Amino acid sequence: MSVFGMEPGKVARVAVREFASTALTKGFIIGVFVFPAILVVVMPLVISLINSSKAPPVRGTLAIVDRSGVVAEDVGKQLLFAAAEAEEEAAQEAAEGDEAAPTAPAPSGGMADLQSQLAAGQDLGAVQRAALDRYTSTPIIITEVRDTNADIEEIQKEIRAEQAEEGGDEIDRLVGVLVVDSDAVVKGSDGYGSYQLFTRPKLDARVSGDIEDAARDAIRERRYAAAGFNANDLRELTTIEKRKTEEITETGTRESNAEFQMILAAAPMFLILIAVATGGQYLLTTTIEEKSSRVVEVLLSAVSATELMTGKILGQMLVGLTLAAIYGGLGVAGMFFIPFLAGVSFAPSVLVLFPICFVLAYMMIASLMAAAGSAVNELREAQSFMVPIMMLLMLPYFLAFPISLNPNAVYSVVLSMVPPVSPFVILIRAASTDPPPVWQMAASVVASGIGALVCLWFAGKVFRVGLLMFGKPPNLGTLIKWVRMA
Amino acid sequence: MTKAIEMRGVRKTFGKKVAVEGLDLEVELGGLTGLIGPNGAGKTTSIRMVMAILFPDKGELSILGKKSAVESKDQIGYLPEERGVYKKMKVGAFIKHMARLKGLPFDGIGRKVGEWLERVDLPGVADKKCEELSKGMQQKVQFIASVIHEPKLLILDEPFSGLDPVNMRLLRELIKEQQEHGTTVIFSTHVMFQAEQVCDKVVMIHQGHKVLDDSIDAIKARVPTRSVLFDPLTPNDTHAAASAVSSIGGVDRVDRTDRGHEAHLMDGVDAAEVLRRIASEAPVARVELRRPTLEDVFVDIVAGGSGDLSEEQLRAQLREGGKSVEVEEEVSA
Repeated sequence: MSVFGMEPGKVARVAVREFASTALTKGFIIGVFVFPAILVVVMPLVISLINSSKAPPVRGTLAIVDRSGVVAEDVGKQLLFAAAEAEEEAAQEAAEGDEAAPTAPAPSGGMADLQSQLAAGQDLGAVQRAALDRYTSTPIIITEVRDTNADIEEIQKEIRAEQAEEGGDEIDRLVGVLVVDSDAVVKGSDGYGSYQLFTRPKLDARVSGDIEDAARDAIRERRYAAAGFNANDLRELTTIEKRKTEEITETGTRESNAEFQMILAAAPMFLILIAVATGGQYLLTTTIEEKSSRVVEVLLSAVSATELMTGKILGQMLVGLTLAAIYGGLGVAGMFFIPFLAGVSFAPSVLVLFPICFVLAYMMIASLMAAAGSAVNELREAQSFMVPIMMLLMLPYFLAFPISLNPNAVYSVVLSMVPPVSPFVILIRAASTDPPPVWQMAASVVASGIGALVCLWFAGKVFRVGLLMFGKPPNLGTLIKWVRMA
Repeated sequence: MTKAIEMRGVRKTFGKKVAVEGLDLEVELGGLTGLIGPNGAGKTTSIRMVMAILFPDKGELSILGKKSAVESKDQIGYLPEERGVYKKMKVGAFIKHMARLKGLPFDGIGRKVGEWLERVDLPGVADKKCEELSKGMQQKVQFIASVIHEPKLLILDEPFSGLDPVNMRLLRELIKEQQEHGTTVIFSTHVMFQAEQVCDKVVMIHQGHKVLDDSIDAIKARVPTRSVLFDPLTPNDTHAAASAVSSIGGVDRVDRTDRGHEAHLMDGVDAAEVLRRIASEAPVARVELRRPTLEDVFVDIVAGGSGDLSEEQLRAQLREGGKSVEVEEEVSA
């Protein structure tokens, strides 16, 4: 019995060996689980690192030229309070991390402490300097009020000179100069003025951000007071609690994940992308291995080149499917166990398209990979063919986001009809909130099908000739000659 | 069906290079035929066409009565010149895989593999990875893979290359054994001496053309004996013997070769008569007619035909090792 001139039994045998020698190896099994493990372990770690990245404990002095005459002291206080707040948070986090420790005692020199000290009329400078010893993990900036009419350029020169000389106590060095306009608090003829910060070179952006926050807060509070408003009242008036939007479901309501759903629209496409890239990559490697180990002619004594290629493509498709099943399964499991993912669903059209798109996308990429593998003698030489194929695969990756935002834009519709990106694009569109009409899905599948047939035909020709060619790797011209020859 | 292989007017080119031209070939069932010729003569290309790995540009083929080997692959065993194994695969699994690809049923394969490994002095390697074996051992494994399905036609391309003398003898026995079991065997070699030892019939290919196709005995008979070998009676007689032989009518010159002293005869001289005269007129311990070897025949045919290579160049070409010539032929495509 033969199908398209091939014996199904032989093709299956080649496929089984291909699958077993790839997927049933320690390397593959470890590799499969390393990727999600990285996602699960590393991603939260990175996110928490980004969130917890506080300004480094920089020490220094900020010169303030306060032309309004009322803000300088407040800037100093705001900076101090911010430092106290950050320090308290850090202490709390440390206590949470250490479960054995009892609830952390209120640190002396905390916010309340500071406020009462300042209320009691203590000198701000003294309070700031006292904080120096207590706060270890936050930046402490001592403020130094300069003359209202001080020459800014002179202060800048001073900072330059300090930068040039070595040594000295860090706290006594200037980190910068803050200039507050004379009409920053009281409206002048051109409206309200503002402030300007000049910093020393390479001051941490988070520290200068803290200073700017303090300046803005101080100016704002002063403006409220100058306009005759009570600052507390205004704060209350302008604060509105933000609540999560809920989606009404059949039985009740649940937290809406519309934004997440938009990102997730690309998930099936990414799953296919990973499976196709992995299967294709292995196909390339095993083909080159068979060629370079010279086992290929031994194989050709038992099977035809077409049977060999078909078997290999099917075997690696099984590898890709295994990968998709494992990752897809992990995703589905996530829906049951992670509340945030619960309720995420895909339209039936996505579920129908998924296997079709996988097979078609895989056939196109895999046949190109098989052709590339058969044409060269070693992996190194395959690079020149790999780059364009990999770029084809990167295209849907980059397009995923714009297409899921505008699933029916002209470029989205056109790209869903152009192989080899068509199967990826149509899947993103189908999974979006505004899926395309059925005829477009059908047209896309037909276009991909034609693309797959063309790729298989081309690969079949190159494969047959390339397998027994040893020597200089071919260029495109030679490949076309092979296609004509075969 | 009486012929294992029939080829008529087969031509194969790679780009501008003609690898095989107008090849007619018939191989009787049950024979042991040698395909000989120097590197790059077109042997491997011819074999690949028989195996339907390459397809001829022109001409007709019939393999085991079928139009193409594609239809009879399971009845053919093939040991290619460019041969290898799956390095990471276990030896037993590799042979089983090849046997299954050749359509052997699953039952009893394991036992068969074990028997064959014993037969080629490789007991207990079934569970080793192929890469752990030496090159010669791998070659024996490949031989098993080419015969385990009991093919009707066995094609071996340069089967002896890379083997030590002991394994060469073992392989020679195995090949003869296959033929005794009724298998038609064809093997190619560029070392003519090997063909002489094993074959009943040889086909000689030179520059893509068949230049000879006959039984070994008939081929040798075609080339008249043109030299006589002799050994001086004692080492002291060397000079006297040589000059005595040189003076005999019909002797062109006397050389000292690795086979002894060799008296080259002029064209048309009766070798038997010279032999008798040497025996009676020169102080010799041994005198014999030197039977022409396949190499002599080849050189005779080719040097007589083309003339663009001297006899020495031709002999050197025959003896040079390696397979680079054949590889380059592919590259030029």
